[in-house]
Amino acid sequence: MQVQVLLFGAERKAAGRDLAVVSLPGSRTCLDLRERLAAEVPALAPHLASARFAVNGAFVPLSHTLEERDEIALIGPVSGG
Amino acid sequence: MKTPDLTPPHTTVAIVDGPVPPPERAHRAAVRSDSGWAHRSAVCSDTPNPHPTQQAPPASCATERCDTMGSHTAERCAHPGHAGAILVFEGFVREIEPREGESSARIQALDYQTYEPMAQNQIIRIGDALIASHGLLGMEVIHSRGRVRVGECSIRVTIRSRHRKEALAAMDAFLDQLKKDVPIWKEPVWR
Repeated sequence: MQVQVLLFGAERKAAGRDLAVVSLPGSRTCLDLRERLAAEVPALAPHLASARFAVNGAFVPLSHTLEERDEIALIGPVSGG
Repeated sequence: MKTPDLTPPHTTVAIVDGPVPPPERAHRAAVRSDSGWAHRSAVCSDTPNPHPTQQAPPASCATERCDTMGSHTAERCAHPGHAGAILVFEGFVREIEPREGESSARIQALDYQTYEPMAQNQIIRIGDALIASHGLLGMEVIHSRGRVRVGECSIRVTIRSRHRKEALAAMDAFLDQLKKDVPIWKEPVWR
């Protein structure tokens, strides 16, 4: 399965793009996605420990299983206000 | 005579391009863009006079009054006599920001990036939870996206409650959660 991950803030700046496309050949939890992101977009690796995933507009745990057509966002530390 | 609107207390949110406008203009924009605000503004003319010692204006004038005097008056009209406190927090862009490798540096502006509609939904989720836990009468949040220059307003939070203490506590809790769980980011534009 191939997934697209929306990037924002410091992660967008580090990766130099607003979208990362990642292949998930086997298991497809957010934990798997995090490992694939670190391998395929090395610039994101230092940011992943402090980032969360949102799927279809809601935060999910790393154990969450991804589905086709999910909207996935990598949410690093936020700074609104 | 129509029944006054007694919608359960809830959170309304707007994310606007550039700085958050002054309350009067913000309310006009909200009336145009958000059905909830428009609905509550529209019922103002049917609610009792919030100042019974003063002569109530004609219904059409009351509606106009709410549309031109800003959100706080409009909210009073929607729930007359309930709110003993209306607490407003406004956040402004500071000139001095911390900078990596330096103690601090001057900026021209902040560029706000938002992930929508998750940002709005998170604000509503946090606001509604605080309304329930603190017994508030309502919360309105306006936040910027895009560029906001030094000295301009980037956020306005308005909380209505029966007494001041629950509004003060809820405001602090809301801002803490905003900075933790709402997908909005800011990037300094250095001088």
